[in-house]
Amino acid sequence: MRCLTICPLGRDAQRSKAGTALSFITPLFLFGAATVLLPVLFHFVRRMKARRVPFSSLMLLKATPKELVKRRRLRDLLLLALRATMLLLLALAFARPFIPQDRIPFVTDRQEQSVAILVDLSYSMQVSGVFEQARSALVDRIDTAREGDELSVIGFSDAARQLTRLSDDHALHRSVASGLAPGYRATDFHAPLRLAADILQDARYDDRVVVLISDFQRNGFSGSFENFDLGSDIDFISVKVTKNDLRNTYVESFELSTRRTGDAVALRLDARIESQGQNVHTDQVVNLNMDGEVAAQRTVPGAPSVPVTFRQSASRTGFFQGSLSLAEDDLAADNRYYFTVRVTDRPSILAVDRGPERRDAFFLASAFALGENARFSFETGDLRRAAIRDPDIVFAANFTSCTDAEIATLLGVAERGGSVILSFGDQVSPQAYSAALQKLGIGTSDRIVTPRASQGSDAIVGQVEERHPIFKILATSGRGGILRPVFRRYLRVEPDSGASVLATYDTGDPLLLERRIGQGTLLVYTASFSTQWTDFALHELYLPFLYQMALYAYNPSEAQYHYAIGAPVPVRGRAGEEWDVQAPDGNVFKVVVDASGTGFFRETEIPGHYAAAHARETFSFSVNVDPRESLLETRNEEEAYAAIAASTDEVATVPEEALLLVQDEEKEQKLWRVVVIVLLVLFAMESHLASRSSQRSSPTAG
Amino acid sequence: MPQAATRFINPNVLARISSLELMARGVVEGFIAGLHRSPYKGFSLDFMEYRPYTPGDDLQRVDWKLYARTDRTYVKEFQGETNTRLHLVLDISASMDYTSHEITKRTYCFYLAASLAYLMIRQRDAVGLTLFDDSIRTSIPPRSSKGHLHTLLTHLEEAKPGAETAFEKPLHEIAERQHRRGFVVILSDLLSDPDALVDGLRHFRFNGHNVLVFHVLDPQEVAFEYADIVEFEDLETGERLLVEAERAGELYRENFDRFEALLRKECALLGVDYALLTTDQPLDHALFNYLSSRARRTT
Repeated sequence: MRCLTICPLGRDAQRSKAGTALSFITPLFLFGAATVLLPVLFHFVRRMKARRVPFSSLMLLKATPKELVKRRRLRDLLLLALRATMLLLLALAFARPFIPQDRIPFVTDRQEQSVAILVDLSYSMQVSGVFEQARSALVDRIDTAREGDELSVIGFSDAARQLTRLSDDHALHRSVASGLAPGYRATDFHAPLRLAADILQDARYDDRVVVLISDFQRNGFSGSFENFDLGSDIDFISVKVTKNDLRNTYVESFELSTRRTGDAVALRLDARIESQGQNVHTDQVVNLNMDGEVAAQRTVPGAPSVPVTFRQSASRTGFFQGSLSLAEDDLAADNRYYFTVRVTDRPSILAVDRGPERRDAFFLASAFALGENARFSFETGDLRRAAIRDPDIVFAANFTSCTDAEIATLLGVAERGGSVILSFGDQVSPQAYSAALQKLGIGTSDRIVTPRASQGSDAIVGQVEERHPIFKILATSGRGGILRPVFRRYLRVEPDSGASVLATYDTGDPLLLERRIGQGTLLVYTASFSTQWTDFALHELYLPFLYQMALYAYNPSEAQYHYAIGAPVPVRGRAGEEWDVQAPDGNVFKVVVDASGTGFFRETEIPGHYAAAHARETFSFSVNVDPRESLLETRNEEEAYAAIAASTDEVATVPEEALLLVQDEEKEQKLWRVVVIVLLVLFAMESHLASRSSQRSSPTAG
Repeated sequence: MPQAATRFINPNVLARISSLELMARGVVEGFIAGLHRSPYKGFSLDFMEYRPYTPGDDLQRVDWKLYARTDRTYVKEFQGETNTRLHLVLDISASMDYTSHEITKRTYCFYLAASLAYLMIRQRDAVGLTLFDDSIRTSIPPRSSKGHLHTLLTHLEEAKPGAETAFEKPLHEIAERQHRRGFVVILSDLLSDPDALVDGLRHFRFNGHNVLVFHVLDPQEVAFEYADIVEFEDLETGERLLVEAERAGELYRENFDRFEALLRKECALLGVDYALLTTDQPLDHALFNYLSSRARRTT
């Protein structure tokens, strides 16, 4: 990086108005100009005191002609003006003035420049008046560019976009500048600076400049600057835009949980409200809005960070759209936090057991069929019922094999978001089932294994995928428990590449396999849930294992309905399905589900509630601004430069470097010398005038 | 002169002493102590000789120690004991109230008059006092008793500021009232018609008085160090004059020099001692002037 210029907007604006406004190396000395009050005060006080003097006798005095008195008064005023001017010039000289290079009038020898102007469009720029400052600074840059200068305007937030190519078409740049508006994304300075550096690589002129117009939000300086170098031939100019005395309150974090007791569902919303500026000292009213109405209200005390909790009961099932709203402040975009919650009926389980004694169904019923307060609604029946009742989970046990129709039914359950769990017993025909397992994408089965025959003892659990949600039980129940069940027989399955093995026997064969199908899940338990092949049902881990598996199978991906601005939203369905997603502003976007069963909606550009629909299927989700962007802590220009240029080897301490560069400019001009020369001339004039006075007042004179 | 002995003679220091008598005593005793240590023996008020006691002499003046040693009765005779009659003539016109520092000319003259009175009465000389402006305001005939000093000082302390200065009438009246020859000491800023003053002095001299004129002025009235545009107001007449001080100062000093030279010349012609005093000068200057003048006029 070759050079740094620091231009706070206020000073910059003054310059543009003044045309040739001065800058100063040590502006604090300008306060010394206040000493000009001393001679002024002295002049008036002295005049007032000397106005009338009682004297013993006027017999030796003679009146002075009025003309002389008038002349004397004029001379006094002239002396006063001279002395005041000298003090001002003295302060000016000490402040070391200089005229910024780009403001020197009638200087035509400056070379044409290639300038990349980066304009911050993150939502922190929505603070009242700040973006207007930024636009004004941008237009000012364009207006003050020379005719041959080539400019490129780059808008950025957490990503950068070149809005105009490098060109000297200033009218185009100005037109683009007038249409700019801040969005809702967060800030990241790395991407635009890198883009600017890339653009300037192909610049026409050697004099290359990057102008960064931003509020320099602290959040935007990421660690990615560690290996960043803007380029040794590029000047960097920072223009800070800001508003003083900011007030902002926003939802820093949000958590929503549902608790079902029988058919009743209780919602609990926990949020943390953070405040800045004067809002820290004032109480904040938080409204909970559900389905367009204010459902509850809380007043939280003024504090930098304070939690708030709402409890609501869901009166129906389905999607609820709600928001937490706060009072108006300087940044409106984060005054409303949107959320979506889906309240569903109890998950339903259908157990289909083809065994003669239906022992698997018995054990499953013993585990899940617990009456009105049960977590799941459980029923046993035929597989045809799965097509009619659309259960959330289907246990398919003791099938000899599966027909294509049965396979289609099971796939249909999975693709609609349900889950299928397969288990086996003596009735199974490994070879016949193998084709079904292949069609289901699990793998192949070749035989029923009796471990005692091959290894002299029953099999036990070998390895488990402990991080998988199903095996969370091991964290609370202890790992030893899983080793106690013995498996006398099991169906040996050779897993397909699309299937995941979640647990194995100590023989190395899979115990539990998983495959995602559509929005649902297929789980294959290679033993029986009854005691036919294993004594697992008699152990303490059996029930937790079943429930954990059912919970996972019911909601394997913990359905998410809250996203940040810019985040892609997955849309699951059958391959080729086309979903319509309606944004809060009414625009409708198309999302096509790909072969993996997922499509992505990426146009989450504005906060609010979004609705996705395909045929009769619908779902909602909400999008919010990144709360980190709401934290309106900013860096000053020196800090910003330090953060951006910290990795460049030639710049160690940036403020000093910046000062040195500006000092160079001042040294070249040496305006203080001119000031001192003028000062000396005035001093000579003052001495002459003053000596004339003192000569007259001297007793020896005349 | 040693500083310790004369520190009370500085008029600015004296201004802090409320009692005029106390002030006068301090001035005179300090002055005499200074004279003892000074080379000016001719002005000493010390014992000069003994003379035999004659009836009527004050018994307090008998040297009893000598009597004890010699069995003879002698009376102490001091130098300067010539029964001089001193008449103090003080100008109390409004112009005497001018000051540019702590002491007005009037106060300075009062200090000086009190000191001279104390000194004279200490020597048993008779001291009289006249206060005047355009006429005689107070007149006390000369006495030499110690109680008389109190009378003089009381009149000085109670004197009120007067009006304009005019020498014609008061000086002639005073001269007419002083039948016996003596020493007349005039204390004034003399800022009035010099011809009238000279005429009055001539009258004194005609009557055989020795006259000493103390021309008492404020330092600013001599130096005139004003600056800028100033409107001066006459303390006696209220008349105002707008001047450019530096330019007017030059003319003032020329006029003052001329005025002083005239007074000196006229006084010299009349055989009158003239001394210019400024109110920032120690009082011993004036006392010394007086003793010097008296020594000159009585030998």
